[in-house]
Amino acid sequence: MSGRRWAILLLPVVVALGVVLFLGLSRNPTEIPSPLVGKPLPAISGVDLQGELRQLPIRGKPMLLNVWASWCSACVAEHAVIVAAAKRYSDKIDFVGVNYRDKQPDAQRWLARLGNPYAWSLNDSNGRAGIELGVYGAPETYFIDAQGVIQDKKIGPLNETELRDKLHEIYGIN
Amino acid sequence: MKIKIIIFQFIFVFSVSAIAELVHEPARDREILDIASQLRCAVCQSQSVAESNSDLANDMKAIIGEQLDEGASSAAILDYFVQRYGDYILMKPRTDGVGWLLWWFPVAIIGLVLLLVFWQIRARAAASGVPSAVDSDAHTLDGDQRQRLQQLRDRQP
Repeated sequence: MSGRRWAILLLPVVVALGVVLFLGLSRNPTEIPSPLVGKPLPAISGVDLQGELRQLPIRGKPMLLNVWASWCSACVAEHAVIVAAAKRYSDKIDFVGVNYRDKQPDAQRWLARLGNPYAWSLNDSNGRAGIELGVYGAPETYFIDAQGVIQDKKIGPLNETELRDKLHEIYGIN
Repeated sequence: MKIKIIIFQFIFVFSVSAIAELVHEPARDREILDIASQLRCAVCQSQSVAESNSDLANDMKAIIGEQLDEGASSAAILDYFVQRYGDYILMKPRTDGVGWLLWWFPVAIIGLVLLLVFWQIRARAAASGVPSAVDSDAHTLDGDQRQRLQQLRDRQP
């Protein structure tokens, strides 16, 4: 009798622990939610790869901010996806790059070889803009609405379906 | 012979302090490392920014140095990184918000278990008929018996 009572008392604890562990352990430890999602894009100013002065955020048009680098191998696969999306949607969304911890000539060559989907790319050779954005590494992508608010963030390379789903979900674009 | 040992000891003691002088870090570097040791290196596994030599950790150390030069407090610098990277960036979770739960949940669990054990012992003692120390007279004795018991207790020195 008393053993059964123990079991009844312990059951919710064990179930709760199981749920917590199941949710906790099935999460990807390398995927950390950004505190910036839902907040306005931080003010960032600098020069782009052409040496022109640039300022973020830009309001009035949604923006896809893609952090990339020529040294980043995962960016190569993602780049084709970004290039294709930019061709289709650049009238609705600004595609802007952040060239993270890179050398300008390397970055230029990389874009010349693989195509340039970006309206412009911020020259972030010292990684400062990256830290302002809470960047861990390249590639990372920020989905920003027309009010300059970060709606979502993806750490790691985007594939075609993922990007299409995000664009649909965030901007209502098909 | 003895004097030689004493001289040797003196040389030894002073040479140690001379070396200590050489590895002495400037206060600013120490302050940077102190703050960096409280920040998680986001791209490494369980290492602090102070321990890591990764590009991101080095950038963060440079920013800590710049902000210290501008007169920022260490709390403000930690806040700067928390705003951009979240609480995850802190090596030690904060004790406010959800962090409060994290700190006190184990204590609450231990308390709950102790309480359950206490109840169980009491229930078992009651079931076996052995009076436990805690007010078991209350429900096994009637009014007269209780009064007599009290009298007996009072009589004892």
